[in-house]
Amino acid sequence: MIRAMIGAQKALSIGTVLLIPASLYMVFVYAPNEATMGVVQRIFYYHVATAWNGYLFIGLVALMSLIYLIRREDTWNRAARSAAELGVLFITLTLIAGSLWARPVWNVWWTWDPRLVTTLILWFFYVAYLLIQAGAGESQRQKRFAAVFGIVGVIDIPLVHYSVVLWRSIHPNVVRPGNPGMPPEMLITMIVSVIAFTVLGLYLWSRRLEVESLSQRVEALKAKVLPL
Amino acid sequence: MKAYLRAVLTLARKDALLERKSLETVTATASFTLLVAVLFHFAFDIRSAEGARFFPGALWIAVLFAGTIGMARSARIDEVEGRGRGPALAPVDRSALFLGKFLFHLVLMLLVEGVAVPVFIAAFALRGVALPHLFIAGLVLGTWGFVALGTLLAGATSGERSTGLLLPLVLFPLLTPVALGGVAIVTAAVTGDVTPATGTWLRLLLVFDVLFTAVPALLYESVLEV
Repeated sequence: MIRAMIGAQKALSIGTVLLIPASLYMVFVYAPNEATMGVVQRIFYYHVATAWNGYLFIGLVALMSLIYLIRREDTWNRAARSAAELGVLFITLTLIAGSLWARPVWNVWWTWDPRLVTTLILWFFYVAYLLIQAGAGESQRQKRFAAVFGIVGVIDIPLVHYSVVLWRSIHPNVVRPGNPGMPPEMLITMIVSVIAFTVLGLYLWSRRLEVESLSQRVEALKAKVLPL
Repeated sequence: MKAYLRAVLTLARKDALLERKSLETVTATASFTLLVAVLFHFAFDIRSAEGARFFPGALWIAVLFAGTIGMARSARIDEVEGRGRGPALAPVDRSALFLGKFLFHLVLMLLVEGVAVPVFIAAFALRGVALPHLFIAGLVLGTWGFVALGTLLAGATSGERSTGLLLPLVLFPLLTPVALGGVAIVTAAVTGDVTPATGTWLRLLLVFDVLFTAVPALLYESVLEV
C-alpha cells in the first residue's frame, strides 16, 4: 500500500497541478458572491477542504497504526507519523481559515461552538501524537504507544464531538443530507475544492513516504557500513 | 473466568499493599485536590452565594489534575523500581494486568474523592447536595472513564523523561466527554435541576467507560515493556 502510494506520486502530482488552479478559478471567478456574507464566504471552500483532509489523515493515522501493531514493521509507524504531520498542517489551516471567516461574519475570532471545539480537540490530539513520536526515538515501546494512542484517539473523536454538541450548539450547518443549502455553482465549487485538496494532501503524503523510505534505506546502509 | 477475576484482584491487591506501606500516592493526590479548592478561592474570590456555580467545575478540575499526577507518579515508581516485570511474567492474559492496575487506580481515586467531596462542599458553602444518588453516579462514572484511559496512558508514558508533562497532554484532549459530562451531571445533582440531557450524559459516560475499559484492555499488551 505504501509502495503504491509512492508509485502513484506522478499521477497525484499531475492531478494537483490541474485541480488546484481549477479550484482557484472556481472559487474566485466561477462561484457567485454570497448574498449576505459577500466575498468573505469564499473562504468556506478552502475551510471545508482542509477540514476534510484533517479528518482523512486522522483516519490514515489510525489505519497505519493498526497495521503497525499487527505487523510491527517500522515502515507503517513512519507512514502513521507522516500522516499525523499532514493532519496537524490541515487542521491548523482549518482553524486559521475558520477564524478569518468568523471575525467578519460572527464578529469574533473564536466561539465555543461544538464543531470548533471538536476541531480544536482534534488539533490537540495530533500535537500530542507528534510529541509522543518525537520522544520515541528508537524505542519500540514508545512507537507502539504512539500507535495505541492513534487508535484510541480515532475511537474517541465521535464521542468528543457528540459530547460538545450536547454541551452547546452557532456553526452554520451548511451541508445536510438531501439538502445542500446552496446554489449548484457553490456546491460544485466546494466539491472541486475538496477533491483538489484531497489529491494535494495525498500527493504531499506520498512525497513524505518517499522521504521516509529513503531515510530507512540510508539507515540500513549506515548500519552495514558502520557496525557499532 | 473465576481464575481470571482472581488474577485481576490479586494484581490490584499487590498495588494496594505497596501503597498501604507508604501511603505516598494517596496522601499526595488527596492534598493536591484540597489545594485546588484553595487556589480556586484565591483565583475567583468566590462568595458563599456563588459556591454552587463553581463547585462542579472546581471539583472535576481537582479530580482530573490530582488523579493525573497520582497515576503518572504510580506508573513512574513501577517503572523505576521495575515492579511491572514480575506481573508481566505471570501466566495470565495481558488484559488482567491492565484491569488490575485500573482497579487499583479506581479505588485510590474514589478514596481521594471521599475525602475531597466533603471538604469541597464546605469550602464552596453548599447546603448539601440535592440529589445524592445522581451525584455519586456522576462522580463514579466520570472517574471510571478517566482512570481507565489514564491507566493505559500513564503506563505507556512512564518510560518517558517528560512523563509529568506528557501524560496530561495526551490524556486531557481524550477526556473531553468525561470533563463535560461529569460537570453537567454534578451540576444537575447539586441544583436538583434534572433535564433530559442529564440522562443522555449518564448514558454517554457509560458508553465512554465501557469502550475505554475494553479497548485499553486489548491494547495494553502493546505498551508493555518487551
